[in-house]
Amino acid sequence: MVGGLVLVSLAIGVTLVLSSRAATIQLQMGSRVTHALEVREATHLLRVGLGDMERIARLYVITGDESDLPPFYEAVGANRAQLAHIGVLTRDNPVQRSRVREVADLMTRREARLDLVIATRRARGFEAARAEVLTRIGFRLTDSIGAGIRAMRSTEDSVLLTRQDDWIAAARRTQRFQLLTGALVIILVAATMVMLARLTAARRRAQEERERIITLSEDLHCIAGFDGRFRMVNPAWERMLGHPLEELLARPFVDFLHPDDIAPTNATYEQQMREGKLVIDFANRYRHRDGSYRWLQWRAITRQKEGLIYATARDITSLREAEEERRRNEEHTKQLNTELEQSVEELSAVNEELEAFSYSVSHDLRAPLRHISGFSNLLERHAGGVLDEKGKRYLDTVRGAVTHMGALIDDLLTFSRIGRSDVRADPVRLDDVVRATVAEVEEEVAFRNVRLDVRPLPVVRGDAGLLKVVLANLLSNALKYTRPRAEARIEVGTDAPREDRVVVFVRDNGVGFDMQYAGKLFGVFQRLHNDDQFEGTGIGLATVQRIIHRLKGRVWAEGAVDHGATFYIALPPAEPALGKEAS
Amino acid sequence: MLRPILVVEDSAADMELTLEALKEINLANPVATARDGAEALDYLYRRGKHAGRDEAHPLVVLLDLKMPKVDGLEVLRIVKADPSLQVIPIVILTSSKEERDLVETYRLGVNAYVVKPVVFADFVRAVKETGQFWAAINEPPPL
Repeated sequence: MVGGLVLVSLAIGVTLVLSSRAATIQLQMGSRVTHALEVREATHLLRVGLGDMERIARLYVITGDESDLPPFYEAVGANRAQLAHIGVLTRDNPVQRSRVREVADLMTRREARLDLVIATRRARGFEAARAEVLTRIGFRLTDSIGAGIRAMRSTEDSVLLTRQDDWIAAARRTQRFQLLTGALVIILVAATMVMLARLTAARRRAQEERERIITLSEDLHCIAGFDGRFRMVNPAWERMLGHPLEELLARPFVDFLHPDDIAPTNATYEQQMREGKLVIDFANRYRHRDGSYRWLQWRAITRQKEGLIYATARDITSLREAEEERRRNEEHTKQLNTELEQSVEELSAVNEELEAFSYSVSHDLRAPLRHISGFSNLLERHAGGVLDEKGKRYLDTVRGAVTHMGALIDDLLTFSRIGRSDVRADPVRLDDVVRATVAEVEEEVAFRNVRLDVRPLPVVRGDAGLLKVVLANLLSNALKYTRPRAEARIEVGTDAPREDRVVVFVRDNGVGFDMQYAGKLFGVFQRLHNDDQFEGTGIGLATVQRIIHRLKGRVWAEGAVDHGATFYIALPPAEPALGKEAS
Repeated sequence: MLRPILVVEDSAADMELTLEALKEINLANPVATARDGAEALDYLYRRGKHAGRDEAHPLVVLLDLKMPKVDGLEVLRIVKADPSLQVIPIVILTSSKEERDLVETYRLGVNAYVVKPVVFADFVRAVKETGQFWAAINEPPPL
């Protein structure tokens, strides 16, 4: 469209140039016509002049009055000048030029003839002059001159005709160009008007679309002046904040701000006016009509030239509240953590006290026990002779109690030490551990009828020292509870390895236990047999469980009364890859 | 004159039992006693009531750990830090087998660490073997 307008404008320019050139040509043609008319006029004047000259000469011939002669010479001079003028006018036309020369020659002769007649009149009177005139030489000359002038004039006439035609053609061309220019101008104006109409319609449509969107938007849109008042607000404002739009427009916007947000908002606003940078993450609170506040997150851009700030805002109240909630939770968690840390501290203080306590138990309880043992022995040595059987049995009972209590203290100390000692996590070859453990009970195995079957065992991740305590406990348990059997069968082996753990078991054919009490097996001081049947402190399996738990393993038992027992321990494998290779 | 064995023990009962056990190995060496760490140091430095003592340094010191006034660890520290005393063998004889006691005494340069067994027969055996080793089997440092 615009391209078309430009083309039309260019065309108008071209036609204007052409029309101007045509007018120039027309002007030239016009001046040529004028020229030809001038020549015609000049020939006419020459003819009249020539007639005057002859008439004055004739008058003198008739009158002989000398006073008539000066006009004659004036006329001669005028005729010469007129002819010279014609010569100038027609100097570009060779034909006319030669005619001018011819006429000039004839005119000179005619003048000479008249001079002769005049001289004759003056010298010899009227009759002589009349006779001279009657020779008609002069008339003939005059006719020749007339013919020459007529020829010039008819030539000039035909030139004039041609030139008039040219002039008319030029005038028509000029007229055509002018018409064309006019038409183009009309087209241009019409097209411009159409285009303007279209542009206006498009603009109005765009405006309507924008307004429709802005009216529809749930986000807030506004335009504010540098005077701190809104110029425009969209209906979302009223929906979100409850204030009528007129009220929003009527008051400075700080009136609607949370008191705490006025200062930062003004600071941002002033910076906006100064620097006009894009604001993208400013947030403040606007008051709802009901007195509550909504958090708004702003994006704004300044047009400094217009003194306006264009802004949109989004309601982030729920986000803020969630954030607040999260912060509160975090604080709460932090507080809980602090409390927990405090508890842990207190706990470790208590643990330290317990440690000190068990240390003193270790030292202080053993000493009197040792004294009871020592002095009851010395007493037996010293008074053995005077004691009867009953007295000796009493002493034995005292010594037995001492032994039991000593074992109890040792077991308890071991148990408590496991709780606080560092646990290693090395690869441990269970084969080696079992071998060392078996060596310690070798005597009992050899003394009794025991069939001890130890299968190859895997490598596990754990603490060799602690695992030895575990296997020693399990093995000594197995030996203890198979004592009633003529042949004790004890088996140490492993289940098929799995990727995440290895299971090792110790199985015996001893007195077993009732599965309903299985849960009590691993508790401290929990026993399923009394001391008369099987001695024990009730701490061994608790120690086993404590160690296995500290090694991140699991321990459990299966059994039946009189049908033996199997104790399982599950431990992490030394390397996950080992388990894979094995499978 | 034979070099003595020094027993440092605050408990009268333990002292008696220890001396009883030592008696059983029929040592010719005299047995000296000290009832706490301070007295043990007086003995070793020949001061206080041991100022006039004329025996040589003990063949071995059986040293309890937990004692009033100056405890066994302190005695051990002083002896092992003194160039004139540090060659004397020191054996800890104690009820405690706490790891930290073991670590600390070995760090200070103890020569042996014996836990007193509860059962008398075991106790006698431990003391006898300790006495025998240091008095008869072990070659003492030259005076």
